[in-house]
Amino acid sequence: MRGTMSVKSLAWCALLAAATASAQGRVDERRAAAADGTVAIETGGGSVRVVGWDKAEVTVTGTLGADSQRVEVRGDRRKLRIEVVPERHDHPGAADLEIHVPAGSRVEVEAFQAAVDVEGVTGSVRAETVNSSITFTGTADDVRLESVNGGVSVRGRSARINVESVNGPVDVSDPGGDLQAGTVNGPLKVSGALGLARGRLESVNGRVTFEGKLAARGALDIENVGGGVDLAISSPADYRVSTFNGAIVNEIGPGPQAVRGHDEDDEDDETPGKELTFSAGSGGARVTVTTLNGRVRIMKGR
Amino acid sequence: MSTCDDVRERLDDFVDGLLEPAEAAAVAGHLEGCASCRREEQALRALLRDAAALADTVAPPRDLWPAIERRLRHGSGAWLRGLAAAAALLLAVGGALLARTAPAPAPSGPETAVQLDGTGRLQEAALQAAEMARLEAEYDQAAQVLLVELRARQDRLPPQTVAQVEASLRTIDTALGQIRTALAQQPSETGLHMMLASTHRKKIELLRRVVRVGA
Repeated sequence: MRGTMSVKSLAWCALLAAATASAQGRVDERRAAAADGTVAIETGGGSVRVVGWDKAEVTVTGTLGADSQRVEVRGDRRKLRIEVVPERHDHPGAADLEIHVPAGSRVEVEAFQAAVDVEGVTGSVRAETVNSSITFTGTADDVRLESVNGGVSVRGRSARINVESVNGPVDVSDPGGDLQAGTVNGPLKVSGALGLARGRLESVNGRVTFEGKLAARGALDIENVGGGVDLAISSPADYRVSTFNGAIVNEIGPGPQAVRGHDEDDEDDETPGKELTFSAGSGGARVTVTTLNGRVRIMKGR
Repeated sequence: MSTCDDVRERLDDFVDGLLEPAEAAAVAGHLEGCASCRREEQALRALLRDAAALADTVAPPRDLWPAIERRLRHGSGAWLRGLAAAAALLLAVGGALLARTAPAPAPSGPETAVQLDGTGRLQEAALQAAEMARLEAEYDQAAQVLLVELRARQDRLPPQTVAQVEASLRTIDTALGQIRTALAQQPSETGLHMMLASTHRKKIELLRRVVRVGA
């Protein structure tokens, strides 16, 4: 009899513990928020999805990871801070969260290893990760995304975009306005540009690809040390392309000229390097490409 | 835990909040009664504050670069002013900290290459090389300080992340070497000077970002 009670007690304890753990693992928070306030999010791992909506409130739903104590939401309507609190100070906490914010918010995300996905925010978005990806979809005033080893992806015609990854790929679709993008090793791809006013694309060793249209007086500057550059611009532009050790392939105009050394009388003093200057169509926009070793290919735009 | 040695062994974890409550209370109790260990603790906290601020102060502000780039594109005199501005800003924002943490190396060799020619005008290429060498020296100092910080904190990052960051730094250093080689052949090539400066900037930004994450 006594043994039976003990087994039952243990079973109840187990059920109770499971229920408690499940309740602790769920996140469901709601706060009033200003239409253009700041929402700062800090997490270690898992995933964060931020969605802009037309309500004057912030909601946080999701599931805590096993190594996290709780999600802490503090602050006021103007500035809310959402933090995944880890079990141990020396170990990042993880959670899978979906956070709705007023569309006009200023969103700031610091996520060590959590994948970050933001959409529908029209204010500004700043996100930083170390080992995970960041994506933004929509049209915001200002987008700034940085990752060390993860990929960074932006879709939409935001006014200002600044994206960087060290080792991951950077992919920007349909940009207009101002764009700055950079990588060290990862490929950098811009596609569907529509009236880009100003672009600066830099890489140390990754391939840079640009496809789309520039604004009539727009400017696009590309610099790559070791990687190649592929261009397919479907709007009039004045090109100035130079490479020190690489090649220039122009499929829409004249070929490059070799660059000579400074002593024009000495035939042995020819230094490596090629330059190409030409206009496509009526010109207007300015395109400058500089590489050290990478091949530059200029193709017909679609 | 009654001896100063015991406490000092645990100071790092104490200021990081990593000790168990009982252990932390014991350290706190010792600090209350020991002025020497208290000074150690205060010095450590000050160092950590400096290190946290370092990541935001060593590198030049991002928006300096468009102005430098415009100057570079507008001819020799202007580009020299741009490089000087960059070097000056680096000194201004990082100099005090750098002076505390690392011995400032003497300006590197090319500065001595600045000479007057027969008509009294500065030789353009030599001056460009001197200015770029000065800028590179400043970047190298900033990178060294950040590298020390990275080494001190790398156990807070996953080993794979540290390995990838170090591989990226090697990529950047290789690129810097290649650009310098190209500049030796074409010292007046403005595009190469710009490439050298922007590649240095990428190295500083990478280090600054990783140090900040490890803080």
